[in-house]
Amino acid sequence: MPFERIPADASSKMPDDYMDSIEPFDYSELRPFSMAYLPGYLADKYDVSMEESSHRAGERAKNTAEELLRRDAAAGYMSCTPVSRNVQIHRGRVQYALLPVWLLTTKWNGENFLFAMNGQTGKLIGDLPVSKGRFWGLFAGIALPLMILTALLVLL
Amino acid sequence: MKRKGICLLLTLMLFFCFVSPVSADTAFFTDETGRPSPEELYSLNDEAERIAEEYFCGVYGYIVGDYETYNSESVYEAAKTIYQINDLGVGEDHDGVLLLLSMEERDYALIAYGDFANGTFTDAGKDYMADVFLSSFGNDDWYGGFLDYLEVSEEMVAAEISGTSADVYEGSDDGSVIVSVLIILLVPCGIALLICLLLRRGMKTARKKYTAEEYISGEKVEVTVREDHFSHMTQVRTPIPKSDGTSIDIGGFSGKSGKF
Repeated sequence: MPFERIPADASSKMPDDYMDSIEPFDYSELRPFSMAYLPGYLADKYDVSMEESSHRAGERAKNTAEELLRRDAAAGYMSCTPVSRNVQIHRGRVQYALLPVWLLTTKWNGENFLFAMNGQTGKLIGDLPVSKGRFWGLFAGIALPLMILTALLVLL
Repeated sequence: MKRKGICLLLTLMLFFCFVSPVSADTAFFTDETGRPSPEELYSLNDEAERIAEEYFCGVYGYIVGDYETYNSESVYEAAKTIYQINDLGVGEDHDGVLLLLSMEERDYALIAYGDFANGTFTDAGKDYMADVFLSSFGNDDWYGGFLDYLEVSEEMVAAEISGTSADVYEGSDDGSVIVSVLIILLVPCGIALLICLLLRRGMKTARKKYTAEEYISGEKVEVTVREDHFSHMTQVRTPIPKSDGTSIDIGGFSGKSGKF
């Protein structure tokens, strides 16, 4: 099962879950690297090794292969329980690429919130702040009517 | 003087004929095997007669050598046969309960007949009764077992007449209130918490990926050869829940049977 260009975040400062969530990128727009893209910007060099990155990409490929095989094998059955696994990965080339991502950090109620946007597609992800008051208010708003309804059902 | 004596004798005869209509020709406890002593049998009959007069429901006990003498199909059918051929039961509906012990293979059958008796001695009630007296019979304590049987029968008949149910544990009222309160409090809180946590989960959109299906190039792999090897079978059995009522057969009898 061939895979191509699985991205793996090569900066330890960038959270992997954020970078994974803003995928996919359009690789048809890829251009050869040139220093001309960097002037005027602060740039961090990658600090995740090729081995680590390719290991991460390999794990994703392995999980995908297993999942697709399980779907095929379990077709027509209610459940499928794997007894043993043997997946071999033949690694190809690993290349570094700069992909466009916008990051925004903000602070609210003493907590830091990070938002990331895919610079090509505009896909935005992030953890939105949760108001504890509204959370418990909603909880009470659902629980109390349900308690009244349950009491009526149980007592009647 | 002679005339007075004859009148007194006639009066006494008439008195005994009318005083206990239930007791005339009615043996509540019959033993074919000589297990309870005659005195014990007499005492059991006395007690059963008292219950029949007070509650208008017969409580009968029979010990036989082998139930197949009466009906070879089953001990339950044999108990029904005994009930019918001896015309047991009190009143027009022949209400009564019969406990039959067959000593050959130590089988027992507990049957009830009549609207009142079937309503009193429900399926759950018969299970409750069996729990009360079976251990005594298991220890060959015939008199003790039948006494327990009489006691629990009277308890159930009295409860039925007073409108309460005797086959419910005493503490169940408190237990059921606590369970109701817990259900009223915990179930809605659980549902509300689940909904709130699901909504909160939707506020977090960053998730790590563990697959790379979008990056498969070329054609996907297809499984072309598949072999099935039978490894084992799992059988799931679900117990049939007991009903709160009485299962009455087409003959009007309800009952249970087993070993003691």
